[in-house]
Amino acid sequence: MQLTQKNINNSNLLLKVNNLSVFFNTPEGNIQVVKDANFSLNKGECLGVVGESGSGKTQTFFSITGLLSSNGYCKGSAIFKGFDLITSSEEEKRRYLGKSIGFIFQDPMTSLTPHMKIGKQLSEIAIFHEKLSSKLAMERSLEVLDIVKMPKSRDLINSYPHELSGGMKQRIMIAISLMCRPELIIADEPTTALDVTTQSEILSIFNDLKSNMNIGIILISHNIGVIAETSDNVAVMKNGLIVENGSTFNVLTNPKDEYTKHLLSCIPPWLEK
Amino acid sequence: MKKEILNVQNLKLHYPISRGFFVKRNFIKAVDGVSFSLFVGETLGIVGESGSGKSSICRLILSLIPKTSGNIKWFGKDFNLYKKKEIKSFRKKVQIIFQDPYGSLDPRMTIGSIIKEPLGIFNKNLSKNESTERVIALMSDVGLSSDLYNRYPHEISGGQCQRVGIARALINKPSVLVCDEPVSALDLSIQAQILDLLDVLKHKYNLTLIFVSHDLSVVKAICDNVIVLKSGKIIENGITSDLFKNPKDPYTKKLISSVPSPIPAR
Amino acid sequence: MFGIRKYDNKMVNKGASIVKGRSLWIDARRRLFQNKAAVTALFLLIVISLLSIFGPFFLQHNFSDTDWGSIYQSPNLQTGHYLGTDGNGRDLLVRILYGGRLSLSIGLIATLVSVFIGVIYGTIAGYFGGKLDIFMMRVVEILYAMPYLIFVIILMVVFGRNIYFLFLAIGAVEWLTMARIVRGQTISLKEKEFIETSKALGQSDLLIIIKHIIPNLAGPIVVYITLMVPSVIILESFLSFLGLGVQEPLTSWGVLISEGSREMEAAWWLLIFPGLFMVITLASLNFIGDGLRDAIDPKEY
Repeated sequence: MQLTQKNINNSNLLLKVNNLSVFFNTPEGNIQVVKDANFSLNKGECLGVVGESGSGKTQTFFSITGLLSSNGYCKGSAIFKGFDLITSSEEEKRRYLGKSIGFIFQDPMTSLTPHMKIGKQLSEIAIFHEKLSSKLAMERSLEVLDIVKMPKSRDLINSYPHELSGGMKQRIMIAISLMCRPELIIADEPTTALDVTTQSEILSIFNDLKSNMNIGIILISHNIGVIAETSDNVAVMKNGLIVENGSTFNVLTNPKDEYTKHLLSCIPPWLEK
Repeated sequence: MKKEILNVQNLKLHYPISRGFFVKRNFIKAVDGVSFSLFVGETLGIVGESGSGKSSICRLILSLIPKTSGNIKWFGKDFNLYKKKEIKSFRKKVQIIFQDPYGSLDPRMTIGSIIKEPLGIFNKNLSKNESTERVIALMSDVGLSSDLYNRYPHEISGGQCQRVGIARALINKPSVLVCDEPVSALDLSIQAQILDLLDVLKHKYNLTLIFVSHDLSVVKAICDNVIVLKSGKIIENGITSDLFKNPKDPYTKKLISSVPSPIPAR
Repeated sequence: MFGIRKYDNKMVNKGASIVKGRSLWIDARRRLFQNKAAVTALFLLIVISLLSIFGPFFLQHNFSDTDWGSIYQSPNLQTGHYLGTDGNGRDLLVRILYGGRLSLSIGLIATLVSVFIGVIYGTIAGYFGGKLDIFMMRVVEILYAMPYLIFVIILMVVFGRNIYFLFLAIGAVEWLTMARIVRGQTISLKEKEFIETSKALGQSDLLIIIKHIIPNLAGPIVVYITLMVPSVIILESFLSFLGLGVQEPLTSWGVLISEGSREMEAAWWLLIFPGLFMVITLASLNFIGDGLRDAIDPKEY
């Protein structure tokens, strides 16, 4: 809460979410899955959102980006660069989504179209949003592949998704989200399906994006270690409620909330490095 | 020296991948010359990343899939020499639980009948009431309320499903339990509960555990000995605390250093 | 181990009396009877079957008696030809009921027989896989490739025209598709971990198939049955049309409909009434099928 207060007059402010609630219409009645969420994100910062399954962490960001399923609706506001993502029309939203706001999902295996070459999948989005020529778009594809540290990018753009490993696919997903030079990236469990060694490579890419390109990142994860390595601030969610919110260091080393304490106590004894 | 339960020598599993008629056959070496032993009462961890062959090893030692070559010696006898009857009693002694808590339970059976199923195989003369009593007793052992007896798997949580899987594995009082990523699909707090439960049950039922996981911290928490696998080969093995303190192989070092620390750097 | 032993391991089930087991099939029956559409459909189907079996005994006309005084008579309550008569003056209602006996028994028996063979064949091929599967599926493909009409004609020529061979001929064609569907489903089920667990428990292959595979196949099987019954009824009318099926004066719904459609302009009732019986039967079968599929799946409730 303190954090949101402090950021009100901050020119660095990228996203500010106020009293966001998400509901679902079900046969059993209305279910509220997110309850009055408040948080904010500055440019070049990473906000980690941690919680267990069913805590509403994914739904919070689906509602901001209009990905809620048809029986869901939300209240509150989510101001992205002075523009309310909740109340705006589909048409207006589309200007931002995929362009200024990029997404990365959990499963890289199913997020890529299997019959389309990598280069095409990358350039397509820039052609759509920025009306680039296909040549320029391809050049930019090579550029972003370098950013995500993919070797041999010239060969890579001519390959198909099934020829790549899971970690490589996830890097392609990051590259796709970078194609339109976004200011905000929302990553939903981006490393959950990956091996630990690949995970640490992906996390280092996130850290680079944050510090070198000044991109704001929202990282949703159930893995506290992942959050600790990348986030500046962290929000802990439980049953749709943000139970604790603050700088990562403070929250993880000196948790105030009972649930956060419980969560931290469940981590297996740590490996000393 | 403790008694050896399982001895695996030079175990191999190769899958052919044929690329047309005229091209020479290539092989995927899922398991490529693995040897290890399992001793009474220990918890042996097998760690590796995806594709390292750890799940294949589980299935091979239980002979759920045929091996390409190698020797598996259970209870001091080569498994190839097991007779049909011996294989049946082996199935009673060695049990497995799988990763996917929902996938390992038949969606069309109730919890009670799922746990009861193994009783029907080995204790045919047990009366209906006796077997129900045993199921209920075991359900309380694994921390399941008897109210769940008549539920279906989709009606209970993932953690509860995993407890059902454990109960089913334990109902015939096995001596070895193979756990193939038993907590990977679970939330952190549920994960801790299941690991605690396994620890309690291990002592109560005098179990020897093989614990397969990709999660090094989990393995470190519960295993006595560890095997590190990479592309079907054993990279390093040893006593858990030693191996995590002084990893010798560069791959092991990389694996350990890749685990993100929950203690944030300032 | 982590300093938290949160789970409650004290006697959760203290004093638990013997719990009464719940079985999938008992549950399924209860759920089926909660489904109004399925119950109505079941009722209609039973009524039509009972009418077909016992109806003719209570009617004054015989299915083969020709009434030369009333050719092409429209439905009329006074003469006792409630649904009219055909070009030979035979009572339509009686003929529909007689046709119903044949169509329903062919539809149900041929379907059940082919499902029985198809499920057994398909689960065995799918479950055991390997060379056995390849062999069994090649056999199916060869049988598929055989023109079944020639097969039926040969049967009829060798053994003489007999209603039982009609059942046999239709069953011989229909089980092939069933076997294929079941095999495909079995292969995907076989990969599931609960099947692997059962193997590790020492369950025998036969019991795995009976206890785990077939109940989980029930959904697609039931849906396929509801599709198969109408196709069998239509197949029978086609064979009859070629002179290989039922012979005059016996009849079936398929025959009645095909005759009725020829005389539609002169005598509408000859098409409408047999058609109505068939439509009600097929619609009922579909609702029962949907109801059964939902009833067998515990996730539906």
